[in-house]
This record gives sequence, C-alpha cells and structure tokens, in this order.
Amino acid sequence: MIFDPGIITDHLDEIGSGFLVTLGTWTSGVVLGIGLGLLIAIAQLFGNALVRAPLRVFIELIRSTPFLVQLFLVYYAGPAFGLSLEPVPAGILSLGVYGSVYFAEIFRTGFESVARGQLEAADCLGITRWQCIMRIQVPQMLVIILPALVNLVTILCKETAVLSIITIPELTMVLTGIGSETFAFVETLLVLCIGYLLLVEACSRLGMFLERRVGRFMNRQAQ
Amino acid sequence: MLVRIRVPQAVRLTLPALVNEMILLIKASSLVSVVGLADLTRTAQNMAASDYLFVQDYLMLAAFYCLINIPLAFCGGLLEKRLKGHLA
Repeated sequence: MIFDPGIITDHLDEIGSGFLVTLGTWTSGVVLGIGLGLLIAIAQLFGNALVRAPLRVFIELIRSTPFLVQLFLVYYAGPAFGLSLEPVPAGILSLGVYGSVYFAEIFRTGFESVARGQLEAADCLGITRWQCIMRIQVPQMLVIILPALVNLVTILCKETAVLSIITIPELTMVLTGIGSETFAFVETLLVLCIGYLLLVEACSRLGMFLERRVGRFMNRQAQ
Repeated sequence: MLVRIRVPQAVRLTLPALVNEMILLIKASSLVSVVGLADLTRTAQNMAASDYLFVQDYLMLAAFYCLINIPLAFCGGLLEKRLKGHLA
C-alpha cells in the first residue's frame, strides 16, 4: 500500500468545487433551519392549541425518521406532490426542515430560560409581544443556547455527506467518485475525512470564540 | 456495590440521554443501505425502483421508522417517570 498524493493533486479543482458545494448546502441549510426553527418555536410558545398540536406531530415525525428517508421523500416522492426540485434545492430544503425541528427545540428551551419577571416587566412598560421577543428574549437566549446551537450546526455539517446519495456534487460525492475511478480509496477517503474535519473544527472554533465574547458581555452585565 | 448501588443510579440518571442516543443510532442505521446491506431503507429503495410507487414506498419507510422510534421514546419517558421516585 503506497500513498499516492498525485491522485489528490490531479483532482484538486474538482475537490475544491466539491468543498464549496458542501459549504454552500451546509450554510443555506443552517440558515433555513434556524429561520424555520425560530418560527416553529415562537408558534409553539405563543400559539393556541390549534397551532401547537400539528406542530408537535410534525416535530415528532421529523425527529423519528432518518434524514436519508426525508431526503428520499422530498427528492423522489416530491414530484407527486408538485414539488419537482433539482438535487441541490431539494437537499437544502430537506436539510433545513430536518434541522429546523432540532433548532426549534433548542430555541424553545432558550425562550423558557429567560426569567418570567422580565416578560411581566416588559408587559407593564407597554412593550409589544413581538418587540419583547426580538429585543429581550432572543438576545438573552442566544447566549444561553450558543453551545447547543454550535453542536447542532456541526451535526448538520456531517449530515450533508448524505446529500451525495441524491447526486449533489459535494465533497463526499466528488471524492468517492475519484476513488472509484482510480481505485485510490485510501487517499480519497483520507482527504474526505480531512475536509470534514476542517469544516467542523472551524465551526467549533468559531463557536468557542463567540462563547467567550458573549460570556464576557454577560459577566459585565451581571456586575 | 457496583451492581447494586452504582449501576441502578447511573441508569436512572443517564436514561434520557441513552434513549436519545438509541434513537439517533436507529436513524443512522439507515445509512448502511448505501453499502448494500438489505435493511429497511434498501428494501424500500428496491421496491420503489421496481414499482415506481415512490410516494407510497417512502412514506411506508418513514412510517416504519416512526413505528420503531416513537414507541421507544414513549417507553423511555414511561421508564423515566417510573424511576423518578427512586432517586432524590
């Protein structure tokens, strides 16, 4: 077994574009997931039973089925419901929906962790509910839920590897493709691991940096 | 001491995390279909590939995973409630 770096250097531009596709689907999936998740969490906390019950069912269904199955449902069964998507939008949509329920649970615990007295005070001061959510609850809960948020974002990064199954040309697809062309599986899979390691490491470093930043802010406020 | 004192307490304390991890593992097991193992997902894929009933086949597939995971989560919750009284 000889390690041949030539296989990697020959396909560097393909690997680069695969990396960019992974990065793109990941970030768009996360943004979509956070947006949807915030909406779901707000609807769950402030909506009436008519809104809450179907959302609860939706969350349970998404949480108890694998991401791969949801991806198949969106990509292969979607057209039957008039949802004909290209692989990349289908992947981003399923990643966003899959992430949204987990984000929603994190946001819900975050909302619940802001002291009730503050909400009552805001009510007394005539602050509207929406202002109260955006100006008082969201900034405080973001600090509290940051570690959980970073954790979920890294999980979603690794989940993007599944997108290769519906032929999205991301890192896994590109490198396993090169592997089957050249039979150099060790080299390609090693580079694949390093690619994901870089993404996840960068993300968790950013998370730690943010935690320190907002931690400083919280401490200053407490004094 | 280990079996009678520490293990029961550890199980009681780690139960929610254990159930959570179990469900995650069951969901991750769908990925073995990629290397050709004929699991639930692979079987549904094969069925869909031969009868083109993508909607029915994949909805059934999702339903089967729900059938495994929702009772598991429910039992975990029940067991948690049941064991709650045994530990302060």
